Amino acid sequence: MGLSRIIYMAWENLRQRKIHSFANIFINAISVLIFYWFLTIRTNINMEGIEGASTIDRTLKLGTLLLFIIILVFKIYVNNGILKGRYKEIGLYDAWGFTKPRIYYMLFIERLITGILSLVIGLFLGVISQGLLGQIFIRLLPFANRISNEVDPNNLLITTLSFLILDIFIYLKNVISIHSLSTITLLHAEEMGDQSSSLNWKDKLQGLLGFALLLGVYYMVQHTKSLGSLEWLLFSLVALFIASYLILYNFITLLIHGLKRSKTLYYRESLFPVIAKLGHSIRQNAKILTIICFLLTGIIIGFSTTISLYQGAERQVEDAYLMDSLLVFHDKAERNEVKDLAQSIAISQGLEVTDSLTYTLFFDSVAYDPNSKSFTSVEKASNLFINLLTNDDFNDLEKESYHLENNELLAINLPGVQKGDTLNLFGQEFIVKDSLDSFSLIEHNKASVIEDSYLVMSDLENLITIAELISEEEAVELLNYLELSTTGSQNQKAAFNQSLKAQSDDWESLSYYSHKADIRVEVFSSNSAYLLIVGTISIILITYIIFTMIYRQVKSARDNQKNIEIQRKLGMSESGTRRFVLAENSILYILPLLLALLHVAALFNLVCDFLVLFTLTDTDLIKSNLILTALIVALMYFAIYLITYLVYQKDYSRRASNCLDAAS
Amino acid sequence: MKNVLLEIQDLTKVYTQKSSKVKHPALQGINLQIEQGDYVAIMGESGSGKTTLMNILASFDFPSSGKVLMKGEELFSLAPKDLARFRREELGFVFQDFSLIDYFTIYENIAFPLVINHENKKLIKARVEEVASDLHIDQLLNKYPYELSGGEKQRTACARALIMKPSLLLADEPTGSLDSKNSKQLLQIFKASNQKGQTILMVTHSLFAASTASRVLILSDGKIIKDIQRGNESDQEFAKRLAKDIMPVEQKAG
Repeated sequence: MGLSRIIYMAWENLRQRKIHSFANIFINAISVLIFYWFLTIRTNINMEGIEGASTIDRTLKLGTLLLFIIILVFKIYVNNGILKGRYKEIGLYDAWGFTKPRIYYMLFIERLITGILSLVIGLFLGVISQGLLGQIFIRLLPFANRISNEVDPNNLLITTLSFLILDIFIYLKNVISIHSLSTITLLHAEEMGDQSSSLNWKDKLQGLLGFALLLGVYYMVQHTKSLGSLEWLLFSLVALFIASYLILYNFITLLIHGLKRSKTLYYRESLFPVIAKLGHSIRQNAKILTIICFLLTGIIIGFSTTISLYQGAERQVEDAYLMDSLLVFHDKAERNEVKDLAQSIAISQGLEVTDSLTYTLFFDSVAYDPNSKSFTSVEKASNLFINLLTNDDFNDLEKESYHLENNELLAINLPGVQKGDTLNLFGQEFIVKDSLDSFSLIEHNKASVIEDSYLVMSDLENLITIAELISEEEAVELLNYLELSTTGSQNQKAAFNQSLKAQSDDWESLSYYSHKADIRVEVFSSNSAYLLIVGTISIILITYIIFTMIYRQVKSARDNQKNIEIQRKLGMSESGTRRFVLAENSILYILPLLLALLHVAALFNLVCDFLVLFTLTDTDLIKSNLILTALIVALMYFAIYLITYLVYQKDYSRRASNCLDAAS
Repeated sequence: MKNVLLEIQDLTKVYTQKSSKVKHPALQGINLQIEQGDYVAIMGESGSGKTTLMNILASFDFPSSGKVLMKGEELFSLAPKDLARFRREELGFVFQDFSLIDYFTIYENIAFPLVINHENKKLIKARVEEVASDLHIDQLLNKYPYELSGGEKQRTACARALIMKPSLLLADEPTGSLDSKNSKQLLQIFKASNQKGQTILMVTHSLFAASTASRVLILSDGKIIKDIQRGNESDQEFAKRLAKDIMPVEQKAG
């Protein structure tokens, strides 16, 4: 058999299974497109040199890796399903003397055709849409004006090579699978593992276990404190996945078994075949339904949290640093001069200084033993970051009127220390006049110094003595701070910061910092990148759901055709048959959505706790986004279901008419 | 005098090939009367029109011309909904491939015709248990079809066909997929139910199966060419006579 004949056969195979082929090419093209998008955004953001490019680049790098893993897992999963469905066909080729190398060659040509088509379509769409994507992305970044729209040949090459490697890997996996099976196994492969089975005690036990596990995870998520760790999140996800599978495979079957005992429901004409068939379909599709359930849960949680992060970015920045700007200078005598400078620049920019904090500070890392309440030798590993402050500055900051003697101090955020305790500071003993959990400097700078501890000393002399002991230097340098908060637009604030920065460049002993502006770039860069990654990955996951459902519906249409014909022959009316098919099919596919919505509701607290790690604490915002996303995803899923159901109906009608033609 | 259950008048069926428009007559002017309580076997070579006739009687297919009257009512004048009702109330089917629904248990397969006929649960349960017990499959009710042997599957199909107490039991090559032991058992079931008054119409290739019937029709090229009535002969004697009568037909066809 010549090469042209094998190519023709490969092409005919793709044409005959046109629904599969089209869906396969479509989903691969979407995967190529999004992979290319990630690469091109990274390149063009770096090229333009916009603020926050390194954060976006770093986040997108991780996103690209995540995307590649998702594509790999899904392609392998889908490929396994498709290959199993073709075992009989391959067995027949083998039985007809079409040798295995020729079969491998034919499969290679098929993969080559679909691979090239997917790449060409995906890259073409990528190149023509990258400008639009760039515009959308740049709108997410309030500090960037433009993004480059260059087509980098390297990105085209990397995308092509990545997908080529993926396809070669999957092709080789297929060859190994087919090679390991005998002709007779291939011919009978379809008859294996596709049977209903009676419910045994193991199924019942697993069903109850699944239900208990689900309730257990839900309970722990609701009641356990400190859930915000990544380990806990991963554990919850794995437990939820297992519970979902057991619920769908065993527990729902158990419920169906219970329904069969119901006198009123089971023996209704409209419900009898539906209940009986569901018991079978649930088991046949439990794996895929669990995956759909997880994809839906992932899309709803992923998209709503990233949109919440993005919408809450400005608040995140506000919460991280209450004060806008920070000026640091060496001479305490310059306090008023620096204050006047800031004030005049603010006025010139039309801003009003609403709050200002002035203080002198010494800070260093120290070794602290909470048991003996002593600060010991600095040669020991440091375990605490300590700040020293004077009594006067503290009283100014806090509007308090503490009066500390030389042997007294105030301890702030120092673990295990209480009022009246004696603290040993490098051999000198101090009585703790009061111990506070927090104060304004901690409150105003949540993002940077939340873990710091503070000691308030009676006066500057005392402070310097201790500072010298800590740093082991004879003359320590104390820094003076002026923190400012202003009201005005973001643009005015940007101009104010720019002027302050320019002034501080001219003033040798003055340094200017805008933590808030820096963190704003950081927060928006990372949150925009998260939104881009999760948004586009959601698109991929939705297309995967579409593909998976189309694949299952075509298979169901093929498997059910004979049974439905028997039901018709036994006197079931056409409308009754249609009602039965629709009811069974829709219940089957609504289950993962319902379970996903249940997961989302139960995981709400966990999601909120997790977002606290990103300093997002607005639960109302998260809740409204979660509800809105769930609603949109549910509607989208319903539309997808309707489309795939039409595919089912169309395929079933086609097969039925083919049968009639054959009979005629 | 027995009542006429089924009457076929000048029945023809012509298939037209879609591409070439060539016409193939499958049935040519069939006339037949089947009385209540008859046990009729239809024999003939492949392509003689047996299955086409069976499909039309079962209302799975439509005739090109002619009439099929069941209890005096013209079958093909019925609306699709009534045709479905007729099928489930008046007919029972036994097919060569058993035609059991994969995802139904044996209980569900047998109960299905009663369920779609809106019978109440008590009656359904009682009838299924009664028929299953008669056919010795009462221990298999919770199993699925793939867990059963060929004979057990065919007995299940019989139970499903008989559960509605149909006017006419149609059997299309019912022993075709069975070994001799299971074939014998099935034919005994047919005979016993016929003796209780069940009308049976069976299409078969098997002389042994046909010899259990009270009347045998030989079909060739879409026409009934012989109508053989059993007298007071035993099954063996009737089988011998059938063999003699059929031989010349087969030789002619061959």
